Amino acid sequence: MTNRERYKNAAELVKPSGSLDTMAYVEEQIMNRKKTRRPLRTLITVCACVVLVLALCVTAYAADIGGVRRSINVWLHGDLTEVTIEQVSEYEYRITYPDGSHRGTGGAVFTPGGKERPMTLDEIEELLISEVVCERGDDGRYWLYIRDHKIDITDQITGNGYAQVKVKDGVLADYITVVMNNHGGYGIQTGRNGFPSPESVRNSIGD
Amino acid sequence: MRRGPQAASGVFLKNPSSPLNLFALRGVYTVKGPFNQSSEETNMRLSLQPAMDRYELSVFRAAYYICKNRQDAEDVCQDTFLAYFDTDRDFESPEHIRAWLLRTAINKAKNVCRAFWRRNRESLDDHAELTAGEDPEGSGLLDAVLRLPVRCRTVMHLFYYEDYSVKETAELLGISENTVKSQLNRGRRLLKEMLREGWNDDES
Repeated sequence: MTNRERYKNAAELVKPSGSLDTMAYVEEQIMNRKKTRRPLRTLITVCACVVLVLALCVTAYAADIGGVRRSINVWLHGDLTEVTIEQVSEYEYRITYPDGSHRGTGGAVFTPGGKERPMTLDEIEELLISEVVCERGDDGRYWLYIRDHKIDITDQITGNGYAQVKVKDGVLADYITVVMNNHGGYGIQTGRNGFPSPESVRNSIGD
Repeated sequence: MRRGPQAASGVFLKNPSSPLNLFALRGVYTVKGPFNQSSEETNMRLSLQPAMDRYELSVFRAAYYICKNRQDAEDVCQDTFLAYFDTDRDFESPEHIRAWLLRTAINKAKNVCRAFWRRNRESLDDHAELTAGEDPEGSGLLDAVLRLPVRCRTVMHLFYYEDYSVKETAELLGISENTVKSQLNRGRRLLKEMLREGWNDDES
């Protein structure tokens, strides 16, 4: 017996099991394709559409299409700092600082005709850039922050609980009146031509 | 009049989505290529059922010699004929169909062996069960062949069982004739070492 004959005899021992039914398998696969192709295609199409819409939303958000979000530089404790402002509702904006902390702002303005409208992002930006802040430090001293100025006003606080500070770093000067209320808070008003009166500041904060 | 399998002869529907294609599945014969072509350009093709009748065992065995597992070989066999049903290619002869089926089965079997889940699975080596109670000499040879390296036993199988020449085996596997010859020599030498009297020194 030759090697070839031996080999063929041995290979003849290899047989599929009785359950092998290739024809049934092929027919089943063809029928399954008809049943499953359409839902699969639909699912793929829907997923692709969702991904596309999400991608467009993310792109629009990142590019600030529609003006819902803006990064601006504001004065924070005397340093120019980039913050993000985004509109969260008609009258509300959210400011995000570099450390991830948030603060809300917003409000309304009255038009010359007496109608009320929400503040725009431009107005919020203008407000933040010219914002004056008063804080009490850990050492118990009172500090006034305006643009890149950090001013110790502790010694200027009168017995009536207010201080008036003039800041001049350009052609125009800022006249600032800071009033301490009875609850540990502050009221601040600025004027271009003179100091606002402490009474008007107290009235504005309802003290 | 009832349409028997012969009625489907001469029309092989290539569009798998057509419901009429079940005729092509079950139909007996074959087909000629597009009718507007000249006779030199005509191609033939067996319908699925006759192709299976002729080549299913060959395809299964080729897959088994690579997978060394009956279940995997059966899966490969089924997938191979599904691929045959799906393919749009034209065949020149039954021999062409056979070579295509074997090449497809070998490639699919290799893919099965490469699959992660299979590489990390314990092999049951079920050929002992497969050949239990049958020809002990053949069983010993089968056992020895299955212990050869996979490339070696693929070449051996095509050469000794399918009666392909060295050149045809090289073409079918897409390797050089020298590689086929060296794999054959290696396989013969290893079989001789394992089987001694059970394998001759002839090179037929």
